[in-house]
Order: sequence, then C-alpha cells, then structure tokens
Amino acid sequence: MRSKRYVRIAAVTLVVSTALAVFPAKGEDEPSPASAQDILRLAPESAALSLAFPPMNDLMKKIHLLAGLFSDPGTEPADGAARILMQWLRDSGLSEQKTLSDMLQTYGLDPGAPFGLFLDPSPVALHARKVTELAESGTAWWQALPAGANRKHTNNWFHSDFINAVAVIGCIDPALALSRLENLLEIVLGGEPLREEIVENFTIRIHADGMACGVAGKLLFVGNHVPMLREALERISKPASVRYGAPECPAKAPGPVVCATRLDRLYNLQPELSEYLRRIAVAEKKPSGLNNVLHNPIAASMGSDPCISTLDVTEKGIEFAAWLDLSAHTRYAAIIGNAKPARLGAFMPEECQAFLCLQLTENVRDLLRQRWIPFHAEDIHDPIGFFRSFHFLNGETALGIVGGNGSPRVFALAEVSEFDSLKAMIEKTQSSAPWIEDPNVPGARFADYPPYFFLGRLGNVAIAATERESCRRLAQALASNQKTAILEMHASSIEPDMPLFGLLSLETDDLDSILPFVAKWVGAESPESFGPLGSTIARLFREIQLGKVFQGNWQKVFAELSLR
Amino acid sequence: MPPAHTKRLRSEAAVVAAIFVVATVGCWSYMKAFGIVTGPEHNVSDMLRPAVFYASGYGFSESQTLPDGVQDFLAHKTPRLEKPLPSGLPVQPARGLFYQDRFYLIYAVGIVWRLFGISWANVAILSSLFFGATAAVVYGIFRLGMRRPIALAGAAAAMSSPSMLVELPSIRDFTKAPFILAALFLCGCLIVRPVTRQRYFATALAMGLVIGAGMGFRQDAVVCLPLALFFLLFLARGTPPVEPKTNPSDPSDPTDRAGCPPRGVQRLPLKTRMTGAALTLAAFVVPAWPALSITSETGGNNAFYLTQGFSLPCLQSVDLERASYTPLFSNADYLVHAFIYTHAKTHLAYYQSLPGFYLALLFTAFGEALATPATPTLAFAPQAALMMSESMDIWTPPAEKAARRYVYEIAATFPGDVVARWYAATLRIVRNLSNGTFTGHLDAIAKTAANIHTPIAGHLYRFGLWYAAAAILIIAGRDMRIAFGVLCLLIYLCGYPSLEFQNRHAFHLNFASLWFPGFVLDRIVGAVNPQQLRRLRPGGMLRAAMRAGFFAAAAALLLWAPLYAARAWQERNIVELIEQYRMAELEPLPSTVSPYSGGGKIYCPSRFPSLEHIPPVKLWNVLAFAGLPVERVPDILFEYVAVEIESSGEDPNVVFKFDDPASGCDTWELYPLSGEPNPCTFRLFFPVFRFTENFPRFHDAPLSTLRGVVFPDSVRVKGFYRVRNKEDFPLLMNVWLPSDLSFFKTHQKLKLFPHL
Repeated sequence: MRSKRYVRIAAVTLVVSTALAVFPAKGEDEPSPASAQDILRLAPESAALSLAFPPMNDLMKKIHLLAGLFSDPGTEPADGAARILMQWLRDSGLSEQKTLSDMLQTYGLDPGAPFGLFLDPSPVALHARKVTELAESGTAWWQALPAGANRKHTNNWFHSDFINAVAVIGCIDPALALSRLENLLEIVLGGEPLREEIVENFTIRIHADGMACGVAGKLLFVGNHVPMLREALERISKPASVRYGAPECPAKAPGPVVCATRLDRLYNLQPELSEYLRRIAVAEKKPSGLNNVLHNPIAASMGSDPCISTLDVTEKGIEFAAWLDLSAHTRYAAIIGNAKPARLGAFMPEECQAFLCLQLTENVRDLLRQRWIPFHAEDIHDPIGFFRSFHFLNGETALGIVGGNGSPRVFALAEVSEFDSLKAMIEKTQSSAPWIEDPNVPGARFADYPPYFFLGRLGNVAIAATERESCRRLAQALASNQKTAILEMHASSIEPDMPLFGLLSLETDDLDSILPFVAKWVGAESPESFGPLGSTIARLFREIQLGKVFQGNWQKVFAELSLR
Repeated sequence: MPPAHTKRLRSEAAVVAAIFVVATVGCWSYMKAFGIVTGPEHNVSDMLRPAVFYASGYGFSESQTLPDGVQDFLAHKTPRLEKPLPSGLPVQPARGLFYQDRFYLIYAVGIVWRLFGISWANVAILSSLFFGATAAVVYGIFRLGMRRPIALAGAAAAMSSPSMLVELPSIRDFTKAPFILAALFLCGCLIVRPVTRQRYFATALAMGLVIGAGMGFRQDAVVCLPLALFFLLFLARGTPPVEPKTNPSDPSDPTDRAGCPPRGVQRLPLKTRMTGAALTLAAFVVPAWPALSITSETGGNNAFYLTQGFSLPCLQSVDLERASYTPLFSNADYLVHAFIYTHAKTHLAYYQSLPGFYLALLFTAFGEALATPATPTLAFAPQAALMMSESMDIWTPPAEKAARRYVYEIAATFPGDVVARWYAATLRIVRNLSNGTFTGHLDAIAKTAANIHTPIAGHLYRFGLWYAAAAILIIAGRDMRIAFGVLCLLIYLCGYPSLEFQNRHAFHLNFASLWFPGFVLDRIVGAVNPQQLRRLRPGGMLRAAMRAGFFAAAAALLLWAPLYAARAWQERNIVELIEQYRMAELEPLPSTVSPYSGGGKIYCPSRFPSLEHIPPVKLWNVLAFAGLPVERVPDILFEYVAVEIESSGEDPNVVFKFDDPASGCDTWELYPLSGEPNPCTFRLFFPVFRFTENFPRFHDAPLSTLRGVVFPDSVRVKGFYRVRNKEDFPLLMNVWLPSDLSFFKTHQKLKLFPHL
C-alpha cells in the first residue's frame, strides 16, 4: 500500500539525491562550476568518494541509452521509470510538472549544469563496530542510543549515522531552490530549521537529524552532516586539487560521470566491515571464508592521492576507466611490480576473435595465489592443477581463439619455467608423447596430444594450438620474430611498447561458439548454456576490451564496450 | 535345573513377549478395524518423501520434482501410491533438518512400505509395533515396583488410556515413546537393586544405544541422556565382589547362592562409574549421529519449539493458574515466528538493519577493483549483501538463533514461571492426562476407553499427587537413595514436557499417574500378608518413618527453594513491567463493532497505522540491495494494541479471530477473576502482525491476519488504542492490566489443591 507519507519520502529521496542537478551559466563573481573539475574542486576533505555528474539532461540521455541497451526491443524502461517518478511527485503534491526537467526548474534548479555528490561512509564502519561490540555483550545496538532515539532511527531514512553525504547543485533561482528544499525537509523531518550558522560568509540552515542546507552564489548545498557541509563550503575559497584533466588522465567533454576515490579511506573501513560480516556469517551459520580476502587488501597499501574513474555512455559504447598515479602510491607500486609490453601476444594470428594477454610476474602470481585462487577454490574445477599451472607459468601468457563452426581454434604462447613438470602434468590426463623435432623450425621441439592439442617448445616459450600446423606455424613465427598486426587490430589505443599487466579483447561475432568452448575447458557445469549468453553479448556489443596498462607513472584500468 | 532368578527372568521374558505380541496385534486390529491412519493433521507428508524413494529402491533419497502420484499420495489425497516409481529418476541424497533428525523413523516407514506396499494404512503396522514395544516397556516399569498382576493391570490401564490411543496414528510423536520409556526403565533397574559390574556396563551400553536410536526417531529422546548419566554416576550401586568358594563341595557354603549375584550394596568405584558414563556417551553418539550432525548445524528448531511452550494453549494444558500476562497468545507456527522475528528485528543487534552497510561494502569493493580488477572483493560484496538478506524465513538457522534469544528473554523475565511450569507439568502427569483436557476425536474404542478412564482420571486428578507422595515416602522409608532416584525420574521426566506441554509430548508418561497408586496398592497387599505382618518390628517401622519424614522435609525444601528464589527474581522484573505498561504511550484507534455469530460482539479497529506504512516492497528492496541507505521492508509488520474493557459478572474472556479459521490462529483467552471489584476495568494489550510480500513464504504459507476480537456481552469495550512506543515492549505479550494494579497477578501459580 502506498501511503502518502512514503510517496513523499520517496519523492524527497529522489529529488535530493538526483534532482539536485542543475547549474546556471558560469557567473563572473559567483561560484557556479560548469565542469566536472569544478565540482571535484568542492570535494570536502572527509569525502571518500567524490562524484561529479554531467548535467541532468545529459545524464538522462545516458540513462536512456543504458536502459534501452538492456531492455527488450520495443520497451522503454527509462521512460516508464520517469513516468512513475513524475506520478509519485504529482501524487505527493510536490510537482505538477510532466517532465523531470520542468520539475527541476520549478524548484529553482538548473537541469543544464553538472552536479556533485560527496560521500563519506566511515560512520557505517563505526556503527558496525558498535553493533559488533554490543552484540558481543548481548546488548541491542539501540540500547546504547539516547532515550527516544530508537524510534527516530527506525523512521528516519536521512540520518547521518550511516553515510555522510553532501550534494552540490547549480540553481537558476537559489532563493527559490533553498525555499523549496527546506519545505521538503520540513515535511520529512518535521518542524522549522533548528539553527543557522555562518560558514565562509555563507549561511547554512540546520534542520533536525543533522540535515543542513545553504546556498553559495548559484550553488545549492545540502547534506546530512554539518561538518562535511562546512568542509564543502570552505572549498569555495580553498579548492581541492583535482587530478582529473591531467595529461595522463584527460578530461572528456561532454562529461562522463567522474569519481575521485580515496582508496586509503575505503581501506580504513574494512576492519570494521569485515568483523561485522564475520559475525553475521557466524550468526547465520554461513561460510565466512570469503571474508578473509578483506583482511589483506590491496587497498592497504594505498596512498592518499585519489583514484580517478570515469564512466561514460555514448551512442558508440560504454567506457569505464580508472587512473591511478603510482608515484603517489609507492607501496602499491612495489606490490604489483613492474609490467612489460606485450611480446608474445604480438605473434598471435590476426584472425583471432578473442585475444588475451597476461603478464604473470612473480608479484602478480603472488597476488593470485594469496587472494584470488583461495577465494575461488570452490569454483575452480581442479584447484590444485590450476595452482600448479600458475607455478609453471612465469612471464607473459598470450591466448587467441578463432571461433565459428562450433569448433573454435585456440592458440597459446606462454613463458614457462619448468617444461618437464608441465609436460608431466599434462600426461597425467593424456597419453605420453615424446618430444620430436621439426626440420622446418630449428631449435623447437614438439609433443602431439591429438586430437585435443599440440604442444611445442622454443626456448622458454611453450606453444600450444588445437591444430598441428598452427602449432608449427606459431613456433616458426616466434623463431623468425615475425609479428602480426593483432595488437594494432585489437588494441589500437595501446602503443606497442606500453607496459601492460593484462589485455582482453573480444570481437563478439562468434562468441556463441567461443564461450561454450571456454566454459567446457575451465570445467563449468553445462557449458552449452553459455552459447545464448554469447549471442546476447554479441547482439549488444561489437567489441569488448578490458585491460590494465601503464602510461608513464599512471596505471590505467579500462573496460570499453563498443555498441553495434 | 536353572537357578531361581534365571527362571524368574525367563518367565518375565515370556510375559513381556506375550504383552508385545498381544499389544501389537491388538493395536493393528484396532487401527485396521476403525480405519485409523496417519493423516495430514499429523504433519509427516513432506518428511516421508525419502521413505517413498527408499521403498521404491532408490535408497534414502529424494528428487526435486516428484513423479506423478507421489505428491497426491503424500498430501493424503490418495490412500496408496498406485503407480510404482519409474526407474532412472534423477535423485539426490535426502538431507536437511526434517530428514536427518527423524532419520530412523523415515527409514522404518520406508522399510514397512517396501515390505507391505506404499500406503497410509500400512503405516499402522509401524504404529502397532511401537505400541507393542511401548506396552512391553511400560509393563517392565510397573514390574520394577509391584507384583505381576498389579503391573499387568497398570500397564493395561496405561496403554488403553485415551491420551495414548489418540496419539497412535501420529507416528512422528508416538515412536519416541518406547525409547524414552526404555531409558527410564534402565534407570529404574540401576536403582532398585545393586548390579554386578557386567550388568552395570551392559545397562550403560543399552542406555546409550536406546537414547541414541530414539533420537533418530524424535529428538525428545535426548532428554534422557543427562538422566542416564546422573543415574550411572551417582545413584547406581554395585554388588560386592564375588568371593571365591571356600569349600567347593559344600552346598551350604554361604558364597554359593545357586548362581545368584552376591548380596549387599556397595558404591561403585569412580573408575567404573566414569567408564560406564563414557560407554553410554559413546553408545549414544553412534546411532544418534545423523540427528546430532544436523542438530549441530541448525539447532534443530528447538528454540522455536521452546518458544511455543510459552504460548497460551500450552500454559492452559499444563493446568497452571494464569498470571496477568501471557507471553504468546497462540502457538500457531507462523504467529510464533512473527513474535520471534519482531523481537529479533527490533531488539537484537544482529538483525537490525544497518542502512548504508551495503553501500559501504560496495564502495570498498569498488575501490579495490579500481586498482586491481581481478580482486575477489568484486565477487565478495554481492555475496556478502546476499548473505545479509534481511528476510528471515521460518525454521532456518538465523530464525533459530533469534528464537534462542527470544526464549532466553522470556525465561529471564519470568524465571519463576519456568520453574512453576515444570512442576505443573509433573503434577499434570501424576494427576492423569485423560481427565478431560485431552479428548480429541475419538472412535468407538477410544470412547469406550474414555468412559472407563473418566472416573479413574477424575480420581487421580484429586489424589494423584498424594499417591505419588505416599509412594515416594514408602520408598524413602526403606531406602532414601531409591526414593531420591524415583523423585528425580518423576520431576525430570514428567517435568520436561512443560517445555511445550501438549498431549503428544507427554502421553507416554501418563503411566506415572497409575504407577504410584499401583505401588501403594502393592505395598498394601504386601502388608496384609500375615507373614509380612509378623516380620514388622516397631523399631524398624519407627526408623522407616523417620527416614520418610526426613526425606519429605528435604524434598520439600529441594523443590520449594528454586521456585521461590526464581519468583523473587521475577517479582523485580514485574515491577518494571507493570510500570512500562502503565506508562505506555497510547493513541486512540477507531473501531467497528458487530454481533458475532458465536455469541458476544466482534470488535475490529478500523485501521492499524503500522500495518499500512508499506512502501513499494520490490522497489525498496531493489534500492536497499543496490546499496542505498533505505531500510528494507520487513517481513512482518506489527502493531501493539490496547483495548480498554469493563467486565461485569462472569470472568472476562476474549477470542482473537483471524481471517482464515483454518490457519489455527484463533485463540480463546479467559481471565479468571480473583477478588477484583465487580465491575472491573482492564486494559488488554495484544500484538497484531501482518506478513508482507517480503516474507519468503508469503504466497504458500497459511498466513492469517487478525480479523477482530470477540468479547462476550458482559464485557463493555471502552476503546481501542495503539501503543506508539511499541519498540519499548520487546516481548509483545498479552497483558491484562487491571485498573487497580494491586490485582495484577505477578506469576503463574501451581494448583496444588485444584477446585474439583
């Protein structure tokens, strides 16, 4: 049953968290940021995540694109959601407008300007710790709260005990925007503002439960934690440094959603969160092994320089990227070690539709061994064999797959440390095959395991393919250093000498045959069920690229999905 | 020629075998003739799935989808499985709480079905076998204290009592009887006479095996384990070591008593006793392992059942004088779950919403993935979010854990009532269960049995306690150790059903109400024997009387002290409780009234505001799952309601009527007046629950919402209120708050001298 109160609260939630958009054109003497960088400059010191959104009109377009991508043809879920939203707003008497943009304008907000949201989840961790301690002592957490606070906590969804948040939004009419916002807050929280405070010559009005708001020039600030709101206002005169827009981390226009993440701050949350999870797992008698991965997180080695990530949705595709300046994260850089440019990958046949290149350095293998494999041990068909294969692989590994006709062709090149052990391991499941030499490929030796695969060895490089001739050709190319144009074709944005840890590139045309093959190879249950998944992906995307590369001192993690 | 005691044993064995055969055949004929079969009301349908598969040659297994006909059979729509299961079905081993904790029962049914065909009528074969075994053991228990004719009569009376007969088709409950009684019998054997070491160890072994096997039929059998260990360690006595014959050729050698164990009583060495206890434990663990393993994983839902024990129907059954409060007004499964859930969600830290936690968790995973995309935290965060699903299904480990806390809360608030309830159950049993409370639906035989038993039960209701006291004092006059053992058996075994007092949990102990009169009768018969009379000596009688007197005083103190200590503690809680209810923040609720077909009027508050404030469930859950700091819609909403009434004339009473009468939630609550002014005014508090779509079984469970409350015409309803500070009332009890608080009944009372 939809009671009016809930409709109102829902509307307020949406208005405050999303509709806080909108900026006017940049004035000469008023703070009115017009770009994502401007928004990020207002990030409070205590924010762990600082999000800069494009103008609401652009954002809605992106949401439309994204929603259309994953919905059935003919359906328009974004329009449906917008209609539901507007219906709520009308039901609750908050707006008579028919579109979100119109509604925002009647609230004095500008739908044509970027907006920001700054989040600090540290109270959650403190709260989790308090809950854990009280649970240990057999006390309920609400018993530690002041008298009467229990009901407040039960009913109030904006209280700041859990996530501190400050939003900043541009306004067409700041006075109107403030007045409408306060009206909403009074509906939800009840009563007039409790007090006012002057920060940096700007007045903030503080309501019940820590909710506060104020305007500065043509910016509307609203938050559920007064100290954080003060920090944001102080940034007007002392802007935060912003890495987004640096040469290695270029800004894009029109803007994507940009997030500056303080990894060190997020790491600080982990002890409390993981302890709370552990207790929950014990309380519910569920396995908590997965919780162990949090005890030795990568983020523990992070410095204070924020990681910049962007998410953009355009008609061309979906692009996600995260940049990290390693010179500001030296401990992390030491843990992951040095990467190298792809060498073996460059020998893969050009017709490969799936292309994977991994640098399994000692550091990476340690990370995989300590964190990834134990966590996924139950999901891996043969964890011991899997673990041992990582032991043999030492350096670069490249894999290429040509799909089609239900029987994909596979090519693999890998730097291997112990050939004999690898061969012995293979021959646990395959009949023994002697090393033979091929006069066409001097220096190389081959062992055939028909019909599954054919193995070759050249120096410290293992060569494998599903066809004898392919295996020989690969060895020959490697021996004569005849590279192909695979890297240029599959990763045009990556320069040949750019160090990388991993690169996965998929042309999706034959994914419906490649995915079941890979699933079968890794021992998944009912691999044939992956065929439809491949078809779905192929219908949506033309090409998918994932990777982790280095540009100077910067690490870039990216995922690009090109739309059809 | 066999020794005398061997002859006695053989003759007893023959009698026991005869009893077993006669009882089994008699029971089977009775069930067959009257068409008494296990029905849907006995709740074994789902449990017996693996039995169908076992009987069909698949082993102890089940399949996700049941073949044609099986579901109808299990749902009792068809009396037998017409078509055998086809071969080659995809099956998996049957695992889970309700399979493993009744492992042997399911196996036993499976074997019967395999041998005789899969039909409900054939379950009667199993019931009959267990009835026969129970009869044999009951006879054995009677024989421990009385001569054969009286024992036979006592066993016959116990086995023919209505409380026993109505439980016959309920194999889930009935099959525990022979195991618990066998353990009791073995305890009795340990104290009535000293035992040789061989017999001591054999008894210890048998105890472990019997209790362990019993646990595989129903968990109740495990209550005998502490008792068995206590008897083995502290109450058993041994015979002196056998002395070597001084003169092998002399038949009058005092050490040779025709192969009889040597006479005399001797405390068993500590080493022997410890070995015996260890042997029992080891012998217990082996057969009990399937049930133990699942119980350790899930808690076996025991806290849930214990919670039900605090409900009004159970408290009424145990014949206590009620207090002004009732922890739970119903023992209907889903209503009990509603109490547990609400308590957990509003008062236990583990189950509180922690809005923002998901978001923080996802942030940390996101942050780490930004640096190292292959991080397991990406997989971990959604798993953790799923793990913290805030729904709490009934009979799940989280619900069981919450139930433990809830039971603890009730027991800690009302410790005096816990003790009183225990004693009341003992009283209830020694006063005979068939005295009218447990009638059930009776067939012709059971009706006849009821007619015969009614005067007996009526008599025992008056004098059962005094027979028990007399019997124990007679025993104490002879041997205080044995008397103490009997008292322990009585208080412990007859008291434990108080945990959830219902006939199905106590029927097998009903023999106790007959055992004590039988024992007294046996002593009287013995005493009038001229030979026996000649043996009586005034000195010996005086000593016996002194022993009995001392024992009576000690036992009274032993029983009185915990009750009054617990009540004193409880009184402290009650003072706070009364104040809390007195100060409850009330908000008037409009209500409607209409005549009720069963008499009186039904009152329905027009609205329950707390049950209306439901945001769109799915949307809210999506938002919460996505990490937004919104609170999820709870599984169950609740309102705490108060109704102010004025009662004149008869004792006030109320019926809680639910939407669906078949849900078993309707409850009648009577509040007997005891000196209150007439007319008197009460404020009756009671909770109202509503399940939301979030509850995992919303669409398939018999969930029912309160329709209204029915008051007789002698009650004038002044108004309904909702308690605004309902979170301050963790137990959500039904409380009758009198206008004059001095009439508040602060504890439940034993009916030592019931009004007849």
